[in-house]
Amino acid sequence: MNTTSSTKSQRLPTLTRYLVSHARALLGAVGSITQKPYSSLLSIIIIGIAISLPACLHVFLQGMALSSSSFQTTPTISLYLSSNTSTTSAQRLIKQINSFKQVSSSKFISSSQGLKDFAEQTKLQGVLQHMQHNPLPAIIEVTPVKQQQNPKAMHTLQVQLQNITGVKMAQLDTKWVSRLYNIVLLGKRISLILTVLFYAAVILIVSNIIRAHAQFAAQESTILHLFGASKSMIKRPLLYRGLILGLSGGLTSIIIVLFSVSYIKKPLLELSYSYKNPILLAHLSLHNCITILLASAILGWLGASLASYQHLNRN
Amino acid sequence: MLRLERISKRYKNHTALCNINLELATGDMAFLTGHSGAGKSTLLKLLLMIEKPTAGMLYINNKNCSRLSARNISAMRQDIGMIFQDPKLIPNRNIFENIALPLLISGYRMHEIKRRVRAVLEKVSLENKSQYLPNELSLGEQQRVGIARAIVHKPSLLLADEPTGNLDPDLSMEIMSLFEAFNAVGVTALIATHDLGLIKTMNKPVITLQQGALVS
Repeated sequence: MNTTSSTKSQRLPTLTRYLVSHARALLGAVGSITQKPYSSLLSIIIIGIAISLPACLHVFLQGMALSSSSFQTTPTISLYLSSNTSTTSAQRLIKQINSFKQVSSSKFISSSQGLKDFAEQTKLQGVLQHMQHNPLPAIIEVTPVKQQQNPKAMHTLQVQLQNITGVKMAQLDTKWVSRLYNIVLLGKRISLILTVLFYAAVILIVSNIIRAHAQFAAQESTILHLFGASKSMIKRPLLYRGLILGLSGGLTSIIIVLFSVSYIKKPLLELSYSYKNPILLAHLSLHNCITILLASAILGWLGASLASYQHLNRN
Repeated sequence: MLRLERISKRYKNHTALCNINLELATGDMAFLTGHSGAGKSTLLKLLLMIEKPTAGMLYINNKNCSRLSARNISAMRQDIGMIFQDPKLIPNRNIFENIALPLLISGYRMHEIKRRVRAVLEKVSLENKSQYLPNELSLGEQQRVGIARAIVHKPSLLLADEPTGNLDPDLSMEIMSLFEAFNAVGVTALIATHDLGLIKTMNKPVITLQQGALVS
């Protein structure tokens, strides 16, 4: 059409035009947020609260996981060795067991060490002294790697270890392992459900805010459309608005979590010391902060996409 | 420049346009007239590709525009200038920004945008009002801003829907002479109006629609 060489030189090159269009959309979005500071601030606080709830839960769960690892909660498999196993063959067995890729570590408890521990724990020294020989077998305590700490994998490993020559019996407290596994699984699932629900709420909140703005600016969109603006060009300022709202909400939520953690820390520590088991309260790491900001930006962008999709398809 | 071949537009309950054949050569200027509901606005909507014809072919600049994708429609519209009865200005943007809109969409350089907006503001005698908001201007001035916006990107086709509908005779005359001036520099123009008195003074071809059909 009207694309003479002079017209072309008056226009920006395609890439620059694209970048300039993004910069304008970003500036437009910042402008529309600062134009109504009060309602924008309210929106940001609401988004911040919604994101901070699952974030707080995550920090507390992380703390609980840390605390529980300070007790001996890692499941192990006890291998009872044949009574005639010598120390050298026991060392060979340990070497063999450690070569399993499912095994994280193994600990040898000799029969005499076992007897000593048993005597200490049961206070039956008197009775044990009268015994002719040590009835306890030597034990190798095997700790599997973290990925194998679920009931099914533990059972497979138990069978494999049982078949090693020199191992009389491999014992695994499956009930206890299952219980622990299920408690952790439950915690994780509850956390996931809450995260999904609150994140969905953030998408809907942002979408609603953007939709209200888009309705207000409907005339502008129509005019832009009639003068040849593409849908993505019209959508862009709305998407940036959602992104900024999401990011600001994420930042607010970090402040809320930091404040909550520091507010709870002192009484929680005092309470836990009274039980002689220090409960650790995980702090918000830089990695956590980046994840929150990234997630909130994506949620904001998604909410705005939803609103702009509805807005453009109605026009 | 503009060719309509057996164009029809039917809605659920009525036929808005029926078998329209029309041709406008590059640099032509014509008036489109007819009573309310005769199909003027529908025809302009088809030309602006807001709606698609039910049957027939529409060619703008020898390009078949009857079945274009959304992306191509946007590109085609960048070469059309449209003027509405209600000037359709963006209320929270000043006059400069309103007029610069088509240039921003087409990706012009800033210095070129400034130069063109200044030139076009001079043409519509509003050079001192570039920083005003639309509601600070009279209706006639707003309409002139609408015209400035429609021609600032030098489109090859200018479409106007009742551009003088809200104006007094003197202002209407003034605006028509603006169209004539643009047409004199080669812009093809199709102006929908029911102001027959005004049309008579212009000595240009008149296309009359009656109940969706072409009568002259």
